[in-house]
Amino acid sequence: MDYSRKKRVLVVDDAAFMRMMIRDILKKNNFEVVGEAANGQEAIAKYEELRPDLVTLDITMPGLDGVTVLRKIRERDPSARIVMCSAMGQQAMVVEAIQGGAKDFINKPFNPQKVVDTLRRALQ
Amino acid sequence: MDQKTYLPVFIEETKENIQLMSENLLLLEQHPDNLDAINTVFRAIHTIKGMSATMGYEKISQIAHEAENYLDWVRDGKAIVDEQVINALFELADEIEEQLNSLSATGETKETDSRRLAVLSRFRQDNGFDEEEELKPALYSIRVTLDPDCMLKVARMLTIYKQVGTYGEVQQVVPTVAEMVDAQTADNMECTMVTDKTNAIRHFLATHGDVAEFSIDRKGPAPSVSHEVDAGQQVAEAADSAEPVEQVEPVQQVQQAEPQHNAQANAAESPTARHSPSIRIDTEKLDRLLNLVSELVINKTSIQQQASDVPEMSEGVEHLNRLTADLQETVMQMRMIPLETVFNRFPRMVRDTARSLSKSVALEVSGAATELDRTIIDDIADPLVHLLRNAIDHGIEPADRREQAGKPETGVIKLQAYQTGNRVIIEVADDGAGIDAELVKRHAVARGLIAADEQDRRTILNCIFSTGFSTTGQVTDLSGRGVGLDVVKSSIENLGGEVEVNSTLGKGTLFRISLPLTLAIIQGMLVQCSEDLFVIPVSYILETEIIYPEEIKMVGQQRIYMLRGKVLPIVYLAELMGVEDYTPPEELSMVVARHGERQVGLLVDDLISQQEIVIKNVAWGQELFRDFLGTTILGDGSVVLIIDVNNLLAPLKIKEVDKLGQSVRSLPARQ
Repeated sequence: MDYSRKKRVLVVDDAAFMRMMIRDILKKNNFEVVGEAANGQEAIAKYEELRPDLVTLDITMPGLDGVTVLRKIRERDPSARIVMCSAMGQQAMVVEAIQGGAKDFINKPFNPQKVVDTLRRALQ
Repeated sequence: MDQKTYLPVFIEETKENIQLMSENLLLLEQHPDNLDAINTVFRAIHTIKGMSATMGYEKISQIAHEAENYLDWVRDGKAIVDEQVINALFELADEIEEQLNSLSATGETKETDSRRLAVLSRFRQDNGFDEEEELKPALYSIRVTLDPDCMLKVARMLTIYKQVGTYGEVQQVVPTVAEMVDAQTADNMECTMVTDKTNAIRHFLATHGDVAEFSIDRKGPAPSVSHEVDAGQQVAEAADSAEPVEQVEPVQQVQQAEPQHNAQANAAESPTARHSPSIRIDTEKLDRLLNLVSELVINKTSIQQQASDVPEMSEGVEHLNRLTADLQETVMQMRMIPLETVFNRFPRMVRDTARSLSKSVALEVSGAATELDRTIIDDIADPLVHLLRNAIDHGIEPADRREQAGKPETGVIKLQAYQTGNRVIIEVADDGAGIDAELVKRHAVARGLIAADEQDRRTILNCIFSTGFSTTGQVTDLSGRGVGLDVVKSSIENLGGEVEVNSTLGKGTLFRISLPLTLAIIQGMLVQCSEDLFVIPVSYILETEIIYPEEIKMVGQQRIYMLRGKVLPIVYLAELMGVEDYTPPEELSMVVARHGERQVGLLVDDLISQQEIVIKNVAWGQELFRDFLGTTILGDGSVVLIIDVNNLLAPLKIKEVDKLGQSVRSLPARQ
């Protein structure tokens, strides 16, 4: 892994609380949160603008759902590294997202260590 | 990300893994077919490799890679573990440790010792293993079992399958993705693929938190007919269509996995699994905490005194009392470290020393869980190494002598630790030749250390700790004790400890070290000197006595006192402290203090009390405070200096008195 600079992450979740949690975990573990988005449209726009190293993407959002956002981002940038955030009982959606090119996924409720492990793995 | 942040953790964890490796190599030496030990060594070396590669220390990861390669063959049953291999692996462990030492000293790795690296690769060649072969693509069966607690197993398995697929050409996967999705669950997966990147796959699976077990089994050479669909494409196709992965007919029939599967899967356990949860704290923070707690205790004492007249406060003060006592105890416990951290490296050291002397020695360790304050732990290793080396070198006899003496060929050294009261005892006992007390006595008398009519065995034997005593070749050879026991004694005394020896000629020797649990809190004697108070650590004090000025004699420039017929040089503490116009009281208190091997009487005005004191280090003006261990604060808030007896008395020319003492000693004792 390249340690020379912090990895830039875009955090996408409709719940401000979840965004805050992810942001805190990432900051403590030397990631840089370069942007946050509360819905799908905003996520796509921010991705274009920021071109982050990694996106954490919530599956369930009002408007565009996570899987659709994933497809749209990967249409624009096939090398985009995206990690889905899912809750229990969303297996089908997660499977769909992974088949759609998501690197990995993290479960809610978040276990900070697992989140960090997963994101590092996704960046390798 | 700043690499420096990780360096201390990296070094510490790598050292832990080297320790783990050493322990299990020792096990393997006894039981070369111990599969658990092989797996543990493999796991340790694998972890070292992964960590060092992540940190960018290629040299270390190369060394680890070399060891890992060989062990891989061993695990596959293709190579054996014999003494030579174990030695070579020990050498590699040493090489890694030296690299770590270089890292902590200079921040850089050092040149690798290529001879060490060459040994294992030569074994591999001798055994007909060519590393190239491993790097050639071959057909592998990769089995993965997910952690039962893993959530969304189908999705998890899918990500694993996708990642593994990027390392080669997938031939078949069971169950297929569609089957997993249909079944809504996936505990196991077997993927048959052609790959040359088994190490990468192993690393990926071993570090994946959701993988409970995995195995990578070589099935045979890569099929000669190459498949037109490459793995990446397959995965992409699977991804696009969400259809099951095409069942490509495997060219070679997939054989049933062999039973060794389980053993290998064990190796995949997380290397940290055996550690109980703990956090690392900067020791400076612990010191600071202790300091704050001790100030709190002082404060409490003062409140207690003020509140003694206020009955309404008694309950609250009592509660405060209990809480501070608990708090102090807890903080002290936090500073305690098990002796294990020191004892751990002894089995290896004893083995190496014994081998180099061609002796057969077994080390039996007990009480490694006994805890001591970390300040003491840091400094106890060297004296113990010294005693253990002595026991192997001079204690345990060569095999033929043991046979003559009717002893078993293998000598036994017992290293034992236990706590009694507020002291910890560490014993080093050997069943070797023992010390000839008569020889020691003759030598000691000749040197004037003891009287010719000395009868007490312990007094005689303990002469071996005297400076210069054991360095004379004559006694070393005959008594069977090595050099430098005086250094052992002084290091232990600097820790507020004591060491004594007991020995039976022909049966063996026992060294017993007694140490205080902590150096942060000591027993101190509060003494009055002119208008000031001082603390003398009780560990320096042999006895106290009331004397009168007229009993003081002069020998040359030196004041002496005859204590039970022996000459005792004495000094006024007030003089040492530079008190001007000092008038001694009519009745003096004398503290007989240990000063190296000598005894010195320190004259003070009065003894106030003996109490537990918390040492507060003086951070400023070290040179000015050379004569003091630090300060302490008394219950009334006053600050008192703690005397470092060794340093304070060091400038005194007591040597002359020693000579005089001898001449006086030979006179009839005056009662």
